[in-house]
Parts: sequence; structure tokens; C-alpha cells
Amino acid sequence: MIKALALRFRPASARSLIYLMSGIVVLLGGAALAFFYWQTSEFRKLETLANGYHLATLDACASINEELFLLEKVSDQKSSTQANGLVLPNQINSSAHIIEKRTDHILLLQDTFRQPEFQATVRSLEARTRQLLRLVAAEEATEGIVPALLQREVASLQVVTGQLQRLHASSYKEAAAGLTTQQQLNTRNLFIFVGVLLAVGFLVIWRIVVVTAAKGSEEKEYGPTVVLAIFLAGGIFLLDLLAPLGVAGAVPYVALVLVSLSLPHRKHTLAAATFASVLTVLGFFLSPAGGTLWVVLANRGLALFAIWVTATLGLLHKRAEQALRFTQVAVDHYSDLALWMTPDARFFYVNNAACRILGYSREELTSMKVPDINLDIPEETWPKIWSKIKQSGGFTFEARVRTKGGRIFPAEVKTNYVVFQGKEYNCSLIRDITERKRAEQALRQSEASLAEAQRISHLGSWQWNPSDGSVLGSAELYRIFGLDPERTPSDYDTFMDRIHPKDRTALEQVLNDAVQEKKPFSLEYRISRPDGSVRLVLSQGEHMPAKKDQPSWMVGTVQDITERKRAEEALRKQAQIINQIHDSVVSTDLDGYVTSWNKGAERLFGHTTEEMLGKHIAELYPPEEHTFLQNQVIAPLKRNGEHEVEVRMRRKSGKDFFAHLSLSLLRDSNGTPTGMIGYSMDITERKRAEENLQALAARLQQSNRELQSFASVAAHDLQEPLRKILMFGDRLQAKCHQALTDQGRDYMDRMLNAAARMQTLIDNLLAFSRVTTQPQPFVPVDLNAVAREVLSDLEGRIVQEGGRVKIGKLPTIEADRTQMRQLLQNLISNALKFHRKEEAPVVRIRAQSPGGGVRRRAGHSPGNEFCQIIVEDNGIGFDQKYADRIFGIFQRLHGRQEFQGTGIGLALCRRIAERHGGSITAQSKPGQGTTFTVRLPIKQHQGEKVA
Amino acid sequence: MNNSRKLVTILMADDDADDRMITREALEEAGLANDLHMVEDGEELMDYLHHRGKYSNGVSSPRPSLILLDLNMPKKDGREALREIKNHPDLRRIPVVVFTTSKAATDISSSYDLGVNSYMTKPTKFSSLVEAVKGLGKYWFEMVELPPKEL
Repeated sequence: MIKALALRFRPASARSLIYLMSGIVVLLGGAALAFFYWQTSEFRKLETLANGYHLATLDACASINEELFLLEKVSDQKSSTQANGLVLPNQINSSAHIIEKRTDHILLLQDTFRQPEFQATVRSLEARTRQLLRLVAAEEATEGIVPALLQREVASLQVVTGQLQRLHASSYKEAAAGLTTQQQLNTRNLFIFVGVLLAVGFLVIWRIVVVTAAKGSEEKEYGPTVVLAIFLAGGIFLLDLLAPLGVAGAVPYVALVLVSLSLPHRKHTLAAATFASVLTVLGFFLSPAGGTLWVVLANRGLALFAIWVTATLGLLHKRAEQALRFTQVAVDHYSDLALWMTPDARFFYVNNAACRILGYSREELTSMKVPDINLDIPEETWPKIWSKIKQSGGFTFEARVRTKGGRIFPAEVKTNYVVFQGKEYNCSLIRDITERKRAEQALRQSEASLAEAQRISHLGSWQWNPSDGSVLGSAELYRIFGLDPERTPSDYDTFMDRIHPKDRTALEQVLNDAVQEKKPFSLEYRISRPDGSVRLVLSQGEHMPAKKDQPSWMVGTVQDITERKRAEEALRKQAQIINQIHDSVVSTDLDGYVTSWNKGAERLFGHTTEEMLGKHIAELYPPEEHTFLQNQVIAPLKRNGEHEVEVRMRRKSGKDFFAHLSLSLLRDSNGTPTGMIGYSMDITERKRAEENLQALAARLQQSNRELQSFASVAAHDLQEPLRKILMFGDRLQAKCHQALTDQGRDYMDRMLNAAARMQTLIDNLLAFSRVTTQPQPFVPVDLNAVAREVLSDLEGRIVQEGGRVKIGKLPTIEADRTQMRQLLQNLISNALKFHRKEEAPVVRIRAQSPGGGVRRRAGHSPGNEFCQIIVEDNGIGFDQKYADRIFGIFQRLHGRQEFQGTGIGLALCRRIAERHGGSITAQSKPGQGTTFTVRLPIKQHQGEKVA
Repeated sequence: MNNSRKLVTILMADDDADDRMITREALEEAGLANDLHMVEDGEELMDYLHHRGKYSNGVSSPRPSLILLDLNMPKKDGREALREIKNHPDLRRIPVVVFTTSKAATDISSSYDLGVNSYMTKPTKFSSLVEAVKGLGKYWFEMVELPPKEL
């Protein structure tokens, strides 16, 4: 029961533990105080009684004395009053009896007053009383009273009583002193008790606060038990000390032993029993006296016997119980599921793992049946399964198990047929093999991914047994060799046949060495695939020493490195190109320290690669350019990722030069910048050339301007004399016509013709030069209106030639109106002029382009929109090879006699088209007419646009 | 021919002797040469009009009814002379016809800007010149009402 109590308190919290201890302390304290009070009051009662007896005895003595006194008086008067003497002895007799009675009482008090003097006095009192009684009796018999004798007896009785009184007083003092001693004893015990209480309290606090916190839950279970045991021991010891020795106060120590049995170790119980024994012996010496010695010794002996018998029996029982419990715990804590079931498929017992993994409580599971959790054993197949278990005694199979939460996991089930106390059971051990299955799956996957990895990396693996020549190759190996694994024998020769003949000997040599010397090898060689292609491979192998039932193997890999080699070669070439490139290519890290330096850089800057690697790029700039380098070169490069700039740099010789830098950030595969690369070009020459070119252009422009004004002035001044020639020639013809001979008139005509032609020439030349020397602002010009004006100007000629001019819808464009007119006029008159003799000229003018005469190109500004004006004729045409030549100034395709003209008209057209930012082209075939296409922008650039 | 009887004073300013000769012939043919005066440059023209220098006597320099003005002349060219004439409160009333070989648009427009009354280019053919001169005469001396000679 105590054990049960101890067990019940085992999981108590600190708070309930404190309540328990306080209760026990109060109970024990109360009991001790009550006992002490009882003992003290009992003593007082006894003392009062004893006092009373003494007083009564003294009273009796006084009464006897009084009787004697009377008797003496009577004796003196005996002779006179004989009759009266018979009455008095009766009074004495009764007093003597009173004394006797009191003496008996006093005798009873002997236990209380044990002093030997007192005892003797009491015995003397007793004797005197008997003597008195005898005297009284004799007096009665003789009827004569011997007053003297009687008187002497009474006197001695008085002395004795006085003695008794004195003795009583002294014995009382003694007893009081004894009581004080007893009290002191009790106080000492109380101190021990309180001390024990404090110690226990300290222990409890220590255990709860320190040990529990430090050691964890395993120790905590036994804390209260230890406390209880210590309290028990203390309490029992206290009781033992307070009770007289005759009480078997040591027997309750059995309870201490019983409590100690619930502690984990055997030594705890032995220690408790030993402790109880020591306390029992101690109690013998410390307890108040009481009872006879042999009884006391017997009590103590029996108590020791009870303690040790309890301890031994308890330990024996505990051992058996622990063995049983160990089995139970082992099963309960088994990591696999253990389920016992009866032949009707009902679960009988399940272990912790079963509850935890299946998610049911033990009660739930024991009310369920096998098919409830095993998906592969339906209700109807159970009898078959059971008989199989019974016959085979147990077997293993895989099944799917469903948990309460619905999870289904693959399991390995081991059944065991067990008969216990005549009943049949099956113990099933179920193991969750999800992990195993997963591992199997992972293995399969990893095999697949290995094959995939081999395929991707073009790396095949092989095992070769040199003793029988067999080769185990991976799929990729066959792929590299271009072989079909299904159709080729997997032996050494098959693969050796595919080795490039020039490499075969080397490979065989290396393989032989590797086998002979049991060392690894690595070799690059070529293989010829059956389809004729040649691959470069890297083969590496290692010798595997023979195991007890296996021969030695060579294992290794073959990697197709054809592409890699090619890439490496390309990379190497590229690196070489960069290195050899004439211009400087320099890369730096993000802080500007040089990481590569090519030959071009060496040439450009004069520093060698060794000198510059690790140096800062700023060394390539004159100090005054350093700010520029930071702000205008590096900063924008880091901001934009690339940058182009022209900057002054410094050679090793100290000479500065202008360089064009083309910079980019170097990035890793994630796009994070890792450095900078710069391509620098010495543009000192280019700069100089540019400057020269600019100067040249300026000079050219100047000379052009002079030339143009010269042309214009010259043409004007040339006209003057020419006009005179014409004028006076005219006058000569008019006035002296008669005076001239026919020949003279002919000369005159030719001269005037030549002069007229020259005038046309000069006019045209002037017009040509005016295109650029006297430009008009660009304004919106309706080409339809211009064409109509031109047509009306040319009316006479059209009628004269009998031709037709058709004008389609033309656009309005920004242009120089005068020049547009010149353009159309020249083109139309040109078309009219070069007509075939047998056919009247037909000229068509139209605007052509997809979209109503306006061709728009996506993404271009409105300024880039062009229109095409097409002038077609049915004239004589020309060979297409002259298509460009006809636009040159003074260029003619026909003799002057055939067609009039100065060779300036089309040149003027081209000049006008070009001045407008357009172009003119001609398409023709001899005899099939000509098509002129003029391409003109619809809007002019803002800069040239003058309102 | 009745025009020839009417006295029309024409002043021609031209530095080119050939032109002066040809124009004189053309004016003669057109019957307008009965009071033709010639000056050779702009200075002389202004002297004539202001009766200065060799024209100070006033007799040899009658106020012209029409001035034929060449643009390109030495000393003072036609443009300057034209500006002076048209800025002069009295002389501005005399019709001035620019008679030049220049066909330049700038010359034409600037002349009109200065207040010229007509702008003619010299034809290359004599017959055309005669036609042009006739036209001038018909226009200025028959069709148009000119301001009175003396105020």
C-alpha cells in the first residue's frame, strides 16, 4: 500500500510535493506535542494522589494519637471508670484500619516513588501499622489496654509518617527534577526532529531544483519516493524515541523498507534496511525506559528480523518483476510494430510503435481486426492466412498498411505462431519499409541518372577482365564506339578493333603495363567508328585487385573529348588571336587592377605583360587624366555595362597619345560583373587625319564657293560679247545681205548658229550654277501646279511635235519651287526632244509608290518620307549602261545634228534632286522609251526649312 | 511716223558703246531718237540730271521723259543711281526703265524694290530690240499719262 502511495505520488508536481511534506510535518509535530502533554499531565495526577494519601495517613495518625491521649486519660482513671474503657479500643481499631488502607495505597505508589529510602519507610510504615493492629487486636482479646505500648507504637507510627511526609516532599522534588530531565529529553528530540526536517527540506529543494533541472526526467520519478522514505524514517525514529522502550516502536521501519523497494536499485533497498537497523539499535539507547529488558530486546530483535525479511522478500520479488517488466518495455519500445492477434484476427496486444505509427490508441487497436489496417488481407482471406501461419509457424511477406490518418505505407510483415497457456496467438512484427522502397527507387533513379550523366558528359564506363578478355561496358561506352550493344560481342577485341590503327599499339602497351604493374593509366587516343567517323577519346583506368571469388579487373572510363578538344583549340586560337591582335586588349578586375595584357597592349604602351599584371590601370594615364578616368571612363562603364570614349593615355616612354577606348564589363555566367575589358586604339593618326580632313574640307568649301561665283560671274561676262556677236551678226545679215556672196552668207549663218548655241550653253551653265549659288527657301510646293505651268510653257513645242503629255496626281512637297519647275521642264522637254521620228511623243508623269505617292518606312521620322516622281516616254531610249553617264554635265549620247542640246539639262536635274536630298535614276532600252525616277523627300530637314 | 514729230527726250545710261550704238539704231528705227541723250556711267547720269559738270549750262541736258538705265556700270552703277533718283523729290517722277543684260532674279526684284518703273532685258536679236523699243515708246509716250514737265 505504501508502495502504491509512493507510486501514486511519483508523478507529483513540486507544488503537491510541498503540500504533502507540510501535512506530514504538521501531523508528526502534533502527535509529538500531544504525547508530551499527556505524559506531563499523567505525572501531575499521580503526584496529587500521592499527596492526598500522605495527608490522609497523617490525619489517621493524628486521630490515633488523639485516641491514645484519651486512653491514657482513661487508664489513669481506670479504677474509677472501668466501663468506659471498653469503648475506646474500638475507635483506635477503626483508625488503625484507616492507616492500613492508606498504607496499601502508599504501597501502590511504590512504582512512582522508587527511591530505596522511601521504600524502606513505607515498609516500616506497613510493619508499624500491622504492629498497631496486632496490639489493638490483643487489647481486644485481653480486654486490657496497654496504653504505654500503644502509645509507643503510635509515636513510632507518627515518626514513620513524618518520615514519609519528608520523604514524599523530597521524592516530589526528585520527581520534579526527573520530569525536567524528561522535558529536556523531549526538547532534544524535537531539535533532532526539526534538524531532520530542515535537512529533508533542503534535500527536497536540492533534488527538485538542481538535480531535476540538471539530469532530466529519469531522476525526477524517484525524488518524491526518496523524500517519503526519509520522512518515514524520521517520523518512525521520533515515535520510537518518544514511546517507552517496552513499545515495539521499531517495527514500522518495515514501511521504510517497502518504500525503498520502489527505488530503482537493489542497493537503495539494502541501504534503507541498514539505515532502519541502525535507527532501531539507536532507539534502544535513546528511548525512555519502560518494560523489562528481555521484552525490550525481543521487541528490537523482532523488528530487525521484520526489516530484513521484508527487504529480502521484496528484492526477490522485485527482481522477478523487473525481468518481466524489461521484456514488456523491450517489446513496447521495439521500433517496429508488434501486434499480437488471436485466431479471429482481433488484436490482443499492440506495442507503442504500433500505436504511434498507426496513429490509434491502444484501446482503439485492441478493438480492431487485422483487415482494418492491412489492405492486402481482406476479411475473407484471413482464415487461409491463419492456417498458413499455424502450419508454417510464421513467414514473411510484404503488404500495404493503412494508418488512422489514411497514409498507406509499404510494410514487411513477419508472422510468428505462438501458443501461450494453451491459447493460440500470432505475433506480427511489421516494419515500415517506405525508406527501403524509397532507397530502391533512388537506386534505380541514380542508376538512370548515371546513365544520363554518362550520356551528357560523353563518358562511358567499362570493366575489363584481362584473364578472359571480357568487357562490361555502359551504354554510353557503346555509343562512343558507335557499336550496338545487342549485336556486338562484349570482348576486348571488339573494342580494340575500333581503335585507330596508329594509336592501337600505344594503347595495348599502356594496358599491358597497367595490368602487369597493377597501376592506373590515362591515355588519349582516337577511335574509328563503324560509320567511318573518327573521335578523340580520353581513357582512364585502374586495376582492381582480385577478391576471393573474383579475378582481378581493370575498371575505367572512356570520355569522348572530340568536341571539347575542338572547343579548347578554338579557345586557344581565340586567346592567341586576342594576344596577337595589333590593337591593345586589356582586362582588369573591378577595382582596375590588370588581369590580362596582350601583345597589342605591349606594343601600344611599351609595358610588358609581366610588368603590368596586377598593376592599376591608372598607370596608363597621365596624372591629370585620373579624374577623367574615374568619372568619364570607369563610372559610365560600370553604370552602362559598356562605354566608348576617347582619352589621352601615356606610354611607358612618357609620351602621351590619344586613344579610342571601347570598354565592356566582364560578367560571370550569372551576369554578375567580375571585371572590365578594354580595347584601346591609338587614334593619334586618325585625329591628325581628321583635323587635316576638316581643314581640307574648309578649303574645298572655300574654293567651291569661289568657283561657283566665278562660274556665275564668268557666265555673265561671257554673255556680253556673245550678245554683241549675235547682235552685230544679225545687223550684218540684215544690212549687208546683198553685199555678201552665198558662201559669205553661209559662214555668217554658221557663225550665228555657233554663237546662239554658246548662249544657250552659258544660260544653262548659269542655271546649273544657280542651283546652289542662288537657292530659294524650301516651301510647300504643289507639284501638280508646277507641272501645269511647265506644260503651258511647253505648249508650243508639244503642239509642234504633235505629242501628248499626261499628268497623274502629284504630291505636295517641301521644295524650291523654281528648281522644281526647272526639273520638270527639263525632264518633259527632254522626253519630247528624244522622240522617235515615226511616232508622236507621249510623256506620262505620275507619282509612284505604294500608298498614294508616299512611301513610308517603318520607324523613320516624317523627315525621311520620300515620294517618287516618274517621267516616262516612248522615245528612242538608250542603252542602260549609259544610265549614269547621261546625268553628267556636258554628256551627250547623240550628235548635235541629231538632237539639239547642251548636255546640261539632266545634270541640272540631278543637281536639283540632290540639293533636295533626293536622287534621280533612269531606266531605258534603246527604242523602248525611257523612265526617269526622281526620288524626293516630302519634308526637308528643320535646319534648311525657311518659312 | 507722227511719233517722230513729237519731241521725246530719252536719256540712256550705258557704259557699253556697242550697246549705245545698237540702241540708238533701234530707237532711230522705232522713230524715237529725235532727242536722245547718252551718258556712260552713273556719275555722269546724276550730273546730267542735276545739271552739274559738263551739263551745268542746262541747255545740253533737258529733263528726260524716260531714262533707260543699265545696271552694271563703272563709277556708280545703275542700282545706286536708281536709288538716288527714286529718293529725289523731283527726279523720282521720271519713269526709269532698267535696260540690262542681267536676268538675275535678285537684280529684278531689287530694282523693283528701289522703285523702277519697268525692267527689261536686252534682246540678242536686233529685230527683237527694235520691237522692244517700239513697245517702250508706245507704252510710255502714247498710252501712259506722265506728270507734267514743269511744276
